[in-house]
Parts: sequence; C-alpha cells; structure tokens
Amino acid sequence: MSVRVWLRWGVLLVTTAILLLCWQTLPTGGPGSTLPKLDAVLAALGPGGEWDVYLRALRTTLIEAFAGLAIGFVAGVVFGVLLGESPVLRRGFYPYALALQALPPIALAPIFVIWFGLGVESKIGLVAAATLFPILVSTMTGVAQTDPVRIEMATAFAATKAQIRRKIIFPGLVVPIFSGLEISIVLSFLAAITGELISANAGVGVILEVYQRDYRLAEEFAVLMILVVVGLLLALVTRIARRAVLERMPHE
Amino acid sequence: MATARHAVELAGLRHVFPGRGRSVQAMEAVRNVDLTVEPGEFVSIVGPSGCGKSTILKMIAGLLRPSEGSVRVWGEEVTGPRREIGIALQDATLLPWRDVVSNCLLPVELHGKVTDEARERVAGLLERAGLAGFETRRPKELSGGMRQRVAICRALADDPTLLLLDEPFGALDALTREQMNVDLNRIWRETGKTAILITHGIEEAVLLSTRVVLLSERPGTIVDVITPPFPPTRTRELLSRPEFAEVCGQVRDRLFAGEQAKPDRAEAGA
Repeated sequence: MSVRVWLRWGVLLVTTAILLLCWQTLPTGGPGSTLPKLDAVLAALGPGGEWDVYLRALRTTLIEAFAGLAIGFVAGVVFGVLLGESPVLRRGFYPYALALQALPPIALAPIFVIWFGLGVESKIGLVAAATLFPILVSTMTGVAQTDPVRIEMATAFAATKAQIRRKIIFPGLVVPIFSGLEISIVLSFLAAITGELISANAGVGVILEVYQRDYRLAEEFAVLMILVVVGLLLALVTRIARRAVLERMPHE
Repeated sequence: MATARHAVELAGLRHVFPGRGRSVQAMEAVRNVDLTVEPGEFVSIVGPSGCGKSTILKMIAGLLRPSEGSVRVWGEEVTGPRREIGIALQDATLLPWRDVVSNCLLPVELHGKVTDEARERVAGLLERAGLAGFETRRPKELSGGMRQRVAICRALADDPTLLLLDEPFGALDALTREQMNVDLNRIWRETGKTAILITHGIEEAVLLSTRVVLLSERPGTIVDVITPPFPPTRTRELLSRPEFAEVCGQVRDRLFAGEQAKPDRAEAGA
C-alpha cells in the first residue's frame, strides 16, 4: 500500500484509538457521572442490552418516518406538478406554500397531537408536513424549467398536450424530484424523532426520554449509536438509489 | 383533377410579432414572401441573421400563424403542426434519458404505435447516417455532430414527405459541418424527400440545394432565387471547383446588393 493510503487510514485509526481511550478513562463512571464509560455503553449494546426495547422503538420511528415521507412525497409531487403547470394556481397558492414552509414543522407537533392523538398518526402527520415542501418545490421548479425547445420540438412533431406531459415533462422531473426526496429523507427521520420527544407513547424519542429520566446513560448512548448507524445506512441507500436513478434517467 | 401538387406554397406571407405595451414594439419579421417548392427539391433559404428565416420555417411547420398570406403543404392550408413534416432544429434537442434509437422513435410514438417497420426504417437511417453501433448510446455520450445526425434521423423517422431543417449544423465546427453536408446530400438523394433548409452559410446552401432563396434584412423578403447548376450528387470535391466559388460569389453579391439598396439600413438595423 502506498504512503498516502497508510496516512489516510492510519490517521483515522489513531484518532479513533485516542478517542475511545479517552472515553474509557476520562469519565468517572460512578453515581452522578454525566458521561458513561465506553465499556458500559458497549455492554448496553451487547447481547445483554435491551435490544427488544431498542428495536421496537426503532421500528415505530421508521414506520412513522416512511409513512409520513410517502404521504409528503405523493402530495408534494401532485401539488408540485399542478403549481408548475398552472401559472394561475402558482400565483394563488405558492405564497401560502412559502408561508407554511417558513413555519418550522416541529412547531406543529403540539397541535398535531391534539388533532391526531399521541400515537403514530400525529408523528406521521408531522413527517408529512416536514417532507412535503422540498419535494413540492423541486417538482414545481422542474416543471416550470422544462426546456421550452424540447416542448417546441415535440409540438412540431404534432404532439398533443397530454403527450408532451407524458413524454417530455414528466420524465424530466425524475432527477429534480429525487433531489427533493434526498432532503426529505433526512427530514423524515428528524421530524419523527423530534415529534416523539415532544409527546408520544412509542418510538426512539420516547425511549431516549425514558432513559434520560431514569438516568440510564449507558442505554441512552447506546440508542444514539444505533441512530448513527441507521442514519448512515439511510444515507448510503440514498446514494445508491441516486446512482441508479441517474443511470436510468440522466438529466443532462 | 390530376394537377401536380406543390410540396409547399407560400403566398403573400407576412408575419408581425406583436408588441407588448410601450417597452416592446411590434416587429415585422417577414414581408410578402411568395415561394413554391416542388416535390423532391432541396431549397435553402439564406439571409442575414434576424431576417426572419426561422420565422418562415416555423410558419411552414405550423408552429406560428402568418399575420397575412397563406402556407400550404401538399395543397392543404397549414393550421398547425402536421404529421407529414419532419423537423430538425439548430439545437439537436435530444431527450437525455432516451438512447439513440428511442430518441429517433419519438415522432413515431407521437403519431401512433411503434411498428417493426418503423424500427427497421430507423435502423436503416442510423446506418446511413454513420451511427450504426451507437443505437443504445445516450446523447451525452455522443459528439455534437453525432447528436445532430441523430436529430436528422429523428426528423426522418416517421417517413415524412417534407423535411424542415433550421440551421441544424450552425453550432458545429467547419470540418464536421462539411462532412455533415455531404452526408445530408446523400441521405436526401437516397430518401427522395423534399427538403427546406434555413442557413446563413452560403457554401452550405449552394452545396446542398437545387435552389437557393435569398432573403433581405428584416423584414425578410425574397431578393433573388439562384439555381446552382450542379448534378444532384454533391461531394466535397465540388467545394474546391471554380464554378462552385462562382455561384457562391453570385449569392454573396446578391445578398450584399440587397443590403445596400436599402437607404434606411442604419435605422432598420437598430
């Protein structure tokens, strides 16, 4: 292996070793300690850890995130196409879309609990509200920015309005919509957990709060570690999907 | 009655782009254009930039309505885009998510079902355009010249009876352009289509055409029609012949004379 490769991985390895060593040695670990020692966290992540609790919570959170994302995605694409195609609708509704987007979706959490209850429904609503706008805006811009020369070309070949939509405009939306989706995937996970932290009866946000209340910091950190892994996996899947989308439907 | 139909008839054609408020004045792009194109002809329309060449082509294509006068294609008044017309624009305008064959088949899809016959025709066109082996490539994998060839194959894909070309080689370098011209001449001869080419390249027009129509500065009106006295087969070798240079000189003189004859040229150009 070349020196460069050694340097790159070597630096990472040394940094990790030092950090883990500090984590193990610096915290006192006794009663009243605010940072659990590394071995305690590892134990909470080991076979003796509360995996049934972790996984049940994670499942709830992921269901909320994906169900909400699905709703936000469909609504975002539908409204994005409508607003993109009709200047009248755009003029009438886009200011409202902007106004709603200016509102941090998390601030809706309390009212969603009143509307939809403490269960997954209110969190799904919250995720949908948070993920809708990035997809709506990118879809709308994609429609409005369709190259007019492509439309002229198809028109010259006697294409109907419906054919132009189906063969020129919609295929050109795949990449813009995917860019919006990438942002929304991150937001969906964030909104689900934040919603649970505010008020819920199940999910990752709930167990984070329960472990905090019981001062079980090893488990608290174990859950954070799991979230890191899940977050990285989501990012990885998104990246693979992006490559597949660009391969199948190149934009340029 | 068995009178021969003209491919294209332009009669008293005028087009004025409407103004908008005070900021954009109405602009007369084309004035009093009369032109008849016979089946099998290759007619080029040449003129200075902004003289309304493309406006004329768009009116033939049914993309623009004339303000006055009429456009007939195969004897029928043009009221909108027609299926028997194939068109290629300055920009190849290929769809990036489609491969070469699928881009060519777009007009066929728009007009109905993609038949085996259409697929064979496209395969033949691509072969003739030197694109055999590139059928499954995406536009971004092709050079500019190859993209324009694909655009011309697409224009011919649904077997149109009239081919309209709006400066399809305008963005290409001189060498590629020469090669494309020779290829286009061959494709025109082999398919027997009627073709109208808009260009500002005098050599290109003389090399390709059975007739060259010269347009004045805006508002564009026909100042002369020149018939290059060459057989249909045009090769690169023709470019260096003295007769060729002579015809080009004639075209240039007529275009220039048309410009000088206008006393208010400075205002008109503003």
